[in-house]
Amino acid sequence: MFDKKIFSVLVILLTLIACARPNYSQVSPGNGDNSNSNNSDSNQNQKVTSPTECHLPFLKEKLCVELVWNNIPSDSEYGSFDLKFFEAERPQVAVNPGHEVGITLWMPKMGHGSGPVKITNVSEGIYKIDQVYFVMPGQWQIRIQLKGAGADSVIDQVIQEYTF
Amino acid sequence: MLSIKLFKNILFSLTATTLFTTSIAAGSACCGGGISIPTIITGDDKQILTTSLAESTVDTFVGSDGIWRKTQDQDRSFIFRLDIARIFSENFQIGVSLPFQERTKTGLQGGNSAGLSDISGQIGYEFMPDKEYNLWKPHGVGYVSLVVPTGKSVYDVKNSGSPEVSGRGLWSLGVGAVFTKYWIYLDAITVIEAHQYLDRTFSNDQLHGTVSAGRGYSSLIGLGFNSSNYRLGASISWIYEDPIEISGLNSSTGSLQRFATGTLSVSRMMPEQMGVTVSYSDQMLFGDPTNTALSRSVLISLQKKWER
Repeated sequence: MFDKKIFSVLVILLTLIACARPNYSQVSPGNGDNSNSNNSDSNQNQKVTSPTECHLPFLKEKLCVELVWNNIPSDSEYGSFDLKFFEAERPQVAVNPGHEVGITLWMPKMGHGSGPVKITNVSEGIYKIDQVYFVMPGQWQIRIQLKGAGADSVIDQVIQEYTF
Repeated sequence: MLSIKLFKNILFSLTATTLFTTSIAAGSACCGGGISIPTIITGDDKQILTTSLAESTVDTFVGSDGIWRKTQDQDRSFIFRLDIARIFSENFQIGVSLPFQERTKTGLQGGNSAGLSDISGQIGYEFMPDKEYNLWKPHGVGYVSLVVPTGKSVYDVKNSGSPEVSGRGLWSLGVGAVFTKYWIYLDAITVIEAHQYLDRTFSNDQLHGTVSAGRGYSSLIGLGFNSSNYRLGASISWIYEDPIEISGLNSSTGSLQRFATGTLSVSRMMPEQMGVTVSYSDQMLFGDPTNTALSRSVLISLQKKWER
């Protein structure tokens, strides 16, 4: 009888002490708050082709890039965005970045990426990025990279934070 | 009296071993991760063979910000597991676990895949035998374990959301201890464990660099109520993993991972030293999870034992 009481009390105590307290997100994937690593301005859903400021600067290459979403990715649909490379003094004019452009969708807290995207060079300094997809909800980074000769060589990169 | 004690011992060791298997089923959080708690012989048996089938469904992702986000896609795994443990000298034992996973995901990058997960092995030493009954002194078995990354990891595939992912991708060495105790109708179990991941370098489409996952720790406490040929068990396990640091092309410092798993199980002892267990595990009930995926699992296991 005593053992049964101990058992019951222990089970109840452990259960109460250890209970989880879920804090569910009120935002569905694809509609989160997003900002770049250097500036908190949101670029989502903008239809901008003539940027006025350099929100995403490549510090080594002295270039800027603007990211404009065409389609926000969701669980059921790939996203796409445009990139425009320009010099800070002349934001109206797109310039060739001079290196191969790479995009990595990276989840820094978990230490892994998502999947490869499709990169199309539309015109000088303008790139279209398709098949943008995040494999799980959470905090992601869109890493825009200027690549070197080797597959593992990155000359410069900027990071756009993204919450999916 | 001796036969009753022997029976209790057999029943407990049967169900206690099953508890470990149950915790394994729910131990895999994100990306084929989680640790492997081994099958350890805690009773008077020479050999134990356990087969189990678990169905696990990912329900929610929890970020490092503590925000819970329901998954929209279905991510379901069937894990068939074969565990064998055998005494090979007075106090030493050896065990191996072979898990096979079939995983189905819906969504844009969904699909179906099946293959071997990470296999593990362990060597145990009974450092605290219970040859004479004591009301409080537990029976203790220590062990060292090795996890071999035979499953495909998130670092091995092109799309990290691929259903092919079935392992952690890293070797790990662990050390732990299992303590068990029984009192007439009740039994209790405690497991403590620590493991160290070995750094590994990858070079593929996704990753050119070194993965350093550091250390991890886990613990489990469980209680059981025994009546006739049945045992009703409940346990909670906690798992902590160091941040995963990536160096190289896409470097990042990571964030710690933490989750708890609650398990309820019912076991029945059958003739011929066999037993069956059905259990339910839920990672959404306990603890303060962070940076992980939370699953619910149902497991059925069949166990055969051979006496010394």
